[in-house]
Amino acid sequence: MTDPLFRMLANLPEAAPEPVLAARIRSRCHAALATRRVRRRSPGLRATDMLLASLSAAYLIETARQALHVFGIV
Amino acid sequence: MTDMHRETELALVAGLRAGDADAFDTVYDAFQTPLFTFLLRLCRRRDVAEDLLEDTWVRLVKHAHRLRPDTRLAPWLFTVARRVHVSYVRARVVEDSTVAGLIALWPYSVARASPFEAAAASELQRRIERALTAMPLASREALLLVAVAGLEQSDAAAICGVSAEAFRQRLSRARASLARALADDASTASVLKEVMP
Repeated sequence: MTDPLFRMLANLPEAAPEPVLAARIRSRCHAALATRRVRRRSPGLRATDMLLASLSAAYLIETARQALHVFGIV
Repeated sequence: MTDMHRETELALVAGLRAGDADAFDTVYDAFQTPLFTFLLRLCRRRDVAEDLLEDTWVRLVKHAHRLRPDTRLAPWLFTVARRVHVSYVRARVVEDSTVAGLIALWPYSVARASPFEAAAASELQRRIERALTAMPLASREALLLVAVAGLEQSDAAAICGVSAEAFRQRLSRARASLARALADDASTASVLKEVMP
């Protein structure tokens, strides 16, 4: 940087966040990264969720069908 | 500004995309001070700068898996930091207009000093800080990105969302304005003559 005014600006003091805040941001970001990693690495978990949802839906449909049958609607 | 080899940077981006905490720590350690310095000089309030800094890092983590493999971290992070500051300024416009009406009724000046003034190592630095604080936001951020953070003008233009030529003009005007403000100050002018003969 050859401009003397820019050199003076480059030499201005820096500022750092409070250590407590810096540590809090770091741990918050680590937690978010960990959550994302778990989600990415566990497709089995998603498959289990899908299976559970399908079974629940089938159960509800059958319950509704039985109820309609009892009342003679179907 | 932080100097980082391109291969290192690409490896860190790959790490961030994979959610690697070590990669995040390296990026965090390299950029937290430059980002905080930039935000603090933009908003002039430590508490606000801390909130904006946190927002910036949270956004990085949130979007890390979508980063392009060839992402350049400094421009990306400063772009986000600038955006969170713009959002903050927009949110404050209504509030500030109300407050300004009340402040106008107050008999004393309540101009906010930069937190850097107290930390300045010399009287000259203190006056530069004061002159920076008094500049319009667009001029201040141009000087902060290029002269203080050490970014390339083309990157700074992209960060500010303007063309390279428009940014060059903005930076030139900001520099002239800062030089004029310092020269207008008689005590600074004598020191400047020694530094900038």
